[in-house]
Amino acid sequence: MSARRWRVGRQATPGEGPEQAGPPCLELRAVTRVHGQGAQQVHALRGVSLSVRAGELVAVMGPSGSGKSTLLHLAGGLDEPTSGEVLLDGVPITSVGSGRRAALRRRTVGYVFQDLNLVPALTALENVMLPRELDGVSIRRAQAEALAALAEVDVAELAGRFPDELSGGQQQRVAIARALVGPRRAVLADEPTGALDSVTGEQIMRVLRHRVDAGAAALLVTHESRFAAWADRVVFLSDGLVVDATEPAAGPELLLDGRR
Amino acid sequence: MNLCPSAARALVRIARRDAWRHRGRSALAAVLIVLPVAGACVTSVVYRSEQLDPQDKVQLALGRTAQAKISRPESQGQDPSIALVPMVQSPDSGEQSPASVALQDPAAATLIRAILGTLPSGAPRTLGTGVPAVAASLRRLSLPAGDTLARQESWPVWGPTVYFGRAGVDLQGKSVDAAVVAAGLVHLDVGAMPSGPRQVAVSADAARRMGLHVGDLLRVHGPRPGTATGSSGAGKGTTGGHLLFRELRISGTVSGPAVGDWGMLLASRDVAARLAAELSAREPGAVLPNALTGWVLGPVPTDWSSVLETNRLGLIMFSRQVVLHPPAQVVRAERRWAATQYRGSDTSQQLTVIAVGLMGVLIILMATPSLAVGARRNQRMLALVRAAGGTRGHVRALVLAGGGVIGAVSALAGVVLGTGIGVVTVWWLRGHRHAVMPRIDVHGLDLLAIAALGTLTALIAAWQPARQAAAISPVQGLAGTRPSRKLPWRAALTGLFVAGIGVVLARHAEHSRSAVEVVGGISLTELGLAGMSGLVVALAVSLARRLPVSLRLALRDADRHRGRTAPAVAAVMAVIAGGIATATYVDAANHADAFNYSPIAARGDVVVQLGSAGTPIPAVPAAEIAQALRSVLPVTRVLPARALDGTRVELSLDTLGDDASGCTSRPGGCDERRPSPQLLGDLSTLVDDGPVYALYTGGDPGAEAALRRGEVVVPSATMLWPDGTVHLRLQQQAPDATVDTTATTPASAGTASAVSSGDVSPASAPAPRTLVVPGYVATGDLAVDGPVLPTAVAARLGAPVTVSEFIAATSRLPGDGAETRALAALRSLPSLADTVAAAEGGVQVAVERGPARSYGLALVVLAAVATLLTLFGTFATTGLAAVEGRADLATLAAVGAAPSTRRRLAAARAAVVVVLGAAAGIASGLFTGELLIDYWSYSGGVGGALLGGHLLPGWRFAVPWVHVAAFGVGIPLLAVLLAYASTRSRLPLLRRIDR
Repeated sequence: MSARRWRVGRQATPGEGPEQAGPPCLELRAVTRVHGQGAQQVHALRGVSLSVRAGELVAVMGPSGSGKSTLLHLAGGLDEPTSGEVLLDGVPITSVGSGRRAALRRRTVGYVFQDLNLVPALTALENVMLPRELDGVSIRRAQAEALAALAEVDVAELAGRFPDELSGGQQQRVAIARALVGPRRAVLADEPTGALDSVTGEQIMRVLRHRVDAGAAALLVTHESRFAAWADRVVFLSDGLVVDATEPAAGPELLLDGRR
Repeated sequence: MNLCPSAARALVRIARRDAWRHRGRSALAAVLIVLPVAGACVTSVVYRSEQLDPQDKVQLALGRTAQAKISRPESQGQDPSIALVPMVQSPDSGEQSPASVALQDPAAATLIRAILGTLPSGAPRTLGTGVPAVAASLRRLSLPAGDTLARQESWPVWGPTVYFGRAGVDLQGKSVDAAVVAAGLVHLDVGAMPSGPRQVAVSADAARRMGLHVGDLLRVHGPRPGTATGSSGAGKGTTGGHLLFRELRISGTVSGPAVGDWGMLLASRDVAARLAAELSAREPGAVLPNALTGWVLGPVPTDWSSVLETNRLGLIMFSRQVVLHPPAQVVRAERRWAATQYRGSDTSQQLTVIAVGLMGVLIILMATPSLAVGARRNQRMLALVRAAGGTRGHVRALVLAGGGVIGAVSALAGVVLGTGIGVVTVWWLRGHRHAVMPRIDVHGLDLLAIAALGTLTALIAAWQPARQAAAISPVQGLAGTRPSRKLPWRAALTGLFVAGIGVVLARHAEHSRSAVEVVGGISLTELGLAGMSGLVVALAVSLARRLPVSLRLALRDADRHRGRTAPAVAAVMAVIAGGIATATYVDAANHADAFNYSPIAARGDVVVQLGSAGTPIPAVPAAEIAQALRSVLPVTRVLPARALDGTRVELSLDTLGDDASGCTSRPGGCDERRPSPQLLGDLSTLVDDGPVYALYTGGDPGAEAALRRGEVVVPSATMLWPDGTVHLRLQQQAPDATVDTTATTPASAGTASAVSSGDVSPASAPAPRTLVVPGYVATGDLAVDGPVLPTAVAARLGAPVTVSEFIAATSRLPGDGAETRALAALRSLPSLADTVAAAEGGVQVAVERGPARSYGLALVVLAAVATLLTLFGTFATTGLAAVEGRADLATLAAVGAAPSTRRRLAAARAAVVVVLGAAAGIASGLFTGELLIDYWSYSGGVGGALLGGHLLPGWRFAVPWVHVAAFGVGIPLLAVLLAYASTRSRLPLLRRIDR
């Protein structure tokens, strides 16, 4: 077992990832987002560049109002940047219509929010099936893919339960399964542990890490450094700017499982 | 929106589960769909079950075996004076017309040519009158070989009246050939067939309705005096005489096509003829039946050629063969003709469609708030769908699916409920109302269409919430924020435009006389105003700054949730507008009714007339009359009303005309109308010294004093000469040579003989007597419509005076059925039973109740429905707002709000909806009411003929303040108070709104 520790301040260019093989799964190029007009203008993001490759977990940290959530919304095409470019699997989502962006979300990227992640009227299985069904996949195939995704996060036995019959941690596992069901390979997680106790939070991070190690890309917004420690890189935002980027020290989880 | 099946399935699944999870909210919308759908289904089942197919018609009209029924054209009734002429008829005899109508009506000519193959030419050939002509035509008719003709006759013998509400029908005596009974056209239900001269079998329906049983005595009578009969002297009516009665024993009850619903079957033709002769005081054998029907019995069907031959003989044939298998070319021609004739039904259909459409709009407006709140509460869920790859179209589809699911389930429930009620209703109508409904007809296509309409209504109601939900970005949805609210100018301008078109259309209808235009215009106006309700809400919020906190919060909340508030305001507006418009119209109609009403006496008084109008009546003790009336009515005083004997003298006034009367100087001129009592039956001249006049007019001290002074009271200044005198002229009547003196009653014989004593004859009529006496113009609210002579003046004129009627004052207005009770009491008087009751005209009792209040019940029902709908719309919105505003309440609690704040806030929310809706509703309702008055009171639809383009007499537009107060203040106040009272006062302590 040889745990490799990341050195702080290794990267010269804030926001850009280490040299790795393959194109980025998710890439933001000089993205700016301005809310409101005139005197009420708010610069949520100011020329942020960031890329996430398959098998990479990038954490975004920063104080409230620093633009973390806006970054996540832009990354998945839920929102449109005022300027700059966002690419998902090499496709510039800023230049395609809302329908195509929605299709990219169905096939490429999934969200995990802090809480209230699941459609309350659907079972866990149906929640995971939802993106596939919206994409026109047959119900049988959608079910199979959803069950597989649930199995990967160890909640296949809860497939028939409704969200209000699941614990917070179970709900987040289902949300992660939904984010990575079928062909999806990118997870955008907005404080996925924010509403959980520390033990459950650790478990969710372990699941996320595991999925990333299996080849997924993940962009994680968090306030807590102990969860950011699970990431391959940490990007610090302040007032809409990337002010720093680090390779965090190996956390206890790495020491425990000894994978690195 | 590209919605693949799997996506649609997923969205419907979400919508279905969400509707179930929020059952209370869904129920608000569901109840608005269930009730109208159920009502429509009941209507469908009852209507379809009423429809008779040809087989049913044949069974009902011909029984099982008769081949055809032959009768006079329906339009001729039993009037013996109308001559038979060649006819044409439709195969089922539903359309009947003289063939000669083709000479005047080109459209009918086409049909008649198709039926006859040619057109009649020249003047129509007459085939005789009355029953003898019918009998002659039946004899000339050639029947298919092997068939025979049996006869059914109706005689001038009538039984008691069977009442349907106020309308009544008399049982009529019938006789039938034995073959008719043998053919099953008469069924014996209970007892035995009549066999003797004093026996009768009555129809089962009539017996049941009147509570008659086998063995009861039935009092039957002959022709009423003055009515024509089918006697051998056809065309010469009975102009006087007794109303004669006989009592017959009921031997059994019968039914069947030959008896009908209201027939009395007599033992035989001879028995019927003898009875009719007795009752009409004619020689036996001189009386013929007043209707004759032929039944074709036998094995051979009568075909279309038989029908045509029957028509040539002036009769109508209902043929089993032809009804079941009508000639195709005639059916086609009839359809083409009908298409050109029934424009009216097209209008009715259009009006029905508009009415249904308006109801649909109202339902949509009331259902929209709950769906809008559903979409709002699901904002995060919808954002999650977007985050999971859903498009705006998916979100729109999801909200629409919510409406669709609620609509479909509600429609299904409504169909099941309505069909069940419909089946029970048909069963009840058949069992208790004896409606002719051969089968319970549940028409699947009708139900499907109704269910589809119900579902469509819910889908439309969900459209606006769906549009708004789709407009919210997923980021806003996830954050719980919403787009900035702008004033809804576009919707308001569109509404204004639509309302403008509606006003123009409705105004145009005043000239075009198109009902569709006026109703369509009003509908468009209401829809346009509904479209502007969002702006009304948005503008109202500008008032919030100056209001107390509850109202301020409620107004701001209404503005923040316009999607919920505006439809509710529009719905309340529509309901209130409907109520105000109806009230405005009804108020005008009532005013017109009162204006044109002629009372017979002061309100509450009872007038008893004995004998026919204007003729002397036998001396009946007033005390007996008073006692009889007091036994059943709250009578305080009874006086005999004396009048000049109109059969012997005629009184006229010499006047100078308008120029000398001074009436032109009076406000309103001589055209001014005023209520004027008219003595029962005739313009008899009242002779009285005050007390009777006081009862008729309700009191006019000046006139009563004048009568006591010996002055003649006149109703109009036109009857006075400039010197204040009245010029009376009395003329003795010449004896009427045509009067059948044998018809006078014994009691009146003395009077009659005095008149005919020989001192008056046409050749020796004395010169009129004139008298000039001081006059007095009545000034009370009511006045007798002719001059009233003091006793002394009548004596000076030498005028014969007789008691014409009795008038009774009451302590309170007699209730319903007072006339019936009084009549029964009077007929029980021995002094009346043998004389007046059997005399010409009999006894008549009338209670003066004032003009009928048109549509009074309808208005009450409308007000009740309006109140319920308003309360429902208001409470639904208030309840939804309360659910959405729980977090606000928690915040209020946290900052120290009093517990009653919750109640005040609920009341304020209700007030915002109901006050805004009522204000707009009153304005549009008054406008609509004015349009309705303008339209209907010109067109003659309600008020009669056109009067030169002006409103009909008595019609005017006036603000119905009582109703405005009720709708504009009463209902809103009730809604606010109920909202206040029904809200819990405890403030919730919540950290987060539950999902």
